[in-house]
Amino acid sequence: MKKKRKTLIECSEQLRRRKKRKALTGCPEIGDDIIFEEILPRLPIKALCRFKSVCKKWFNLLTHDPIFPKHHSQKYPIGTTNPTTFFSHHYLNGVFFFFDSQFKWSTPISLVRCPVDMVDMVMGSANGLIYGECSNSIRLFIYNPITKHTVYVPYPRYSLRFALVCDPFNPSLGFTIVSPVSIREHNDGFETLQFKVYSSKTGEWRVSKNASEFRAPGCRLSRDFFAVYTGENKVYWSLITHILWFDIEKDVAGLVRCPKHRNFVRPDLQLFFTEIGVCEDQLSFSRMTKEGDLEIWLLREKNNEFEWVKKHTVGLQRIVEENWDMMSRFYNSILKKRLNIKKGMKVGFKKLKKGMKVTKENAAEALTHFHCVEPLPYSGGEVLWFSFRNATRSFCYIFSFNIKTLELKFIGKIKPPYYQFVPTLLPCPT
Amino acid sequence: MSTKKITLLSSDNELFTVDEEAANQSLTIKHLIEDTEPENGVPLPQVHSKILAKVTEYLIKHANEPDNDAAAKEELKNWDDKFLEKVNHETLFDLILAANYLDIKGLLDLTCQTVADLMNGMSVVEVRKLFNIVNDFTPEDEAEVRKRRKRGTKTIGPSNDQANQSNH
Repeated sequence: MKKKRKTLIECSEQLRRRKKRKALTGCPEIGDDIIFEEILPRLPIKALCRFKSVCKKWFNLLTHDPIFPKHHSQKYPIGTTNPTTFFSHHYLNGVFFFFDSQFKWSTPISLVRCPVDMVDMVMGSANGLIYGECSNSIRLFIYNPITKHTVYVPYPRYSLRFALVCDPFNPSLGFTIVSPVSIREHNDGFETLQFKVYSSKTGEWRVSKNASEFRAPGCRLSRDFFAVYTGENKVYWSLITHILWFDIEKDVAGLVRCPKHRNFVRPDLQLFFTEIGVCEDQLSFSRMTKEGDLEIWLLREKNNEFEWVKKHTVGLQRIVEENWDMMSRFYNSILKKRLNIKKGMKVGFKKLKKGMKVTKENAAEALTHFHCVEPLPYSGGEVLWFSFRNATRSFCYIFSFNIKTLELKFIGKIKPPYYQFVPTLLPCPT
Repeated sequence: MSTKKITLLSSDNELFTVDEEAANQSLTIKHLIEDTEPENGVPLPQVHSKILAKVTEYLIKHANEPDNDAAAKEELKNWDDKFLEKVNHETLFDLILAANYLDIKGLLDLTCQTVADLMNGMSVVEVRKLFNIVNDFTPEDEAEVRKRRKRGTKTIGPSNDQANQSNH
């Protein structure tokens, strides 16, 4: 009796479903292959995370499918068109704060607690992966906050700077980590470097043979772990006056002088005003000069000869003048405090004194004078990124400036140290 | 100099005439002409005249795509936006199917991008309705998915336990 009743209920359920489907058949059904290959890859990652719960098929596609990330990164390419995200890292409990270019604290990538036991230091981010040191100094971690993949690597002793090299489209090929280690310091400010190389294939660290004793200008600043990977298996580190590079395939290291500038800021401050990044498999070098120009250079390489090519120059004055309405909202917090602190200034800069009003004409000069503007890595396109920092460097305001439309966009306020990050669904290389 | 005209025949036997250059954007039509050389128009039994009218409109507009002219490109982009502005979901999906069947890359990209932009502002329920998807998650499954999302964002994930184990 009970059984019969159940089938009746089932029948009515079926009927109800059929009716429902009929009501919905306004839209013709397009095949799964069109949805999965053409439509879903065009959505940003934030939306995809939400659509995991549409149905089981979608859930499997978005979490376990090996091919979908590749489709996605082709339709929604890593780099210029993808909205850049910034994240900063809370040292105490390993929480990453993310925010996207619309400056909304966005879930689920806004607040990600790294599953790594305790994150001690973030060393950088490349191809949508974050890498850094675990707090016990035994291991390094590589972590994708979107897919939540984590890979661990043993920690080499005495290393501070790292660069992660991997092919994001072929995670199965593995990855390489290169770390320059200082083994001797010289009186003239130079140091002898050794390169340690980790390959995921062997699972071991080895010392590079060809570049075992490499003399490079010493760079013992706190922000020196900046490394950048560009194509063709080359990694770069920014030293104060030079760029250090290491070729993984050929196992050689080298130095390139930064583009010359006759009137540059003090060398110890210089690191804050230069930044390296990747632009179409080339090294990009952004710099804020003392005159208040934001310069972007690209490093061209031909037969082991390097050449700097200037890509863009934008005067800060121009940026301020074109967007004074927006700028006037920020200069107070950026400049006012400084004007009060440096009351008895004698050197240079006569126009601004204590309590003097910042106007459209002198704002750019003031910003340059107080070293408020720091460039951010340039990754191609028409958009330049830079940040304004406040007097104590406890906060940075991140802006993007479009060279063509001259539009300034306020991205957000973030606590340094912060890193640029491009989210991707591609898993960690293993 | 006159260009060759091509006649297209829709599923309800309506005829559409376009230049050969315009029609060649569709690889399916191109191959059909090359292989069969039809006399009374290329038969397209899968496309209704209502949709084919839209498709030919697109083909004619995109026949001579400008290469370097920025202003013309801008104009074409604006036209594309207008082209799909007043289209309802049903027609949009039909257009995707037609673009896929006729192998017109530009139109497929345009329509799929429009759907993706549409989806970007939608909730999960709205997306299910749009694609006619039945929610096959049991309530327990759904809770699990939701929990996982939360766990990833707010509490420590399962891999943490693994990490601790391998530590000891």
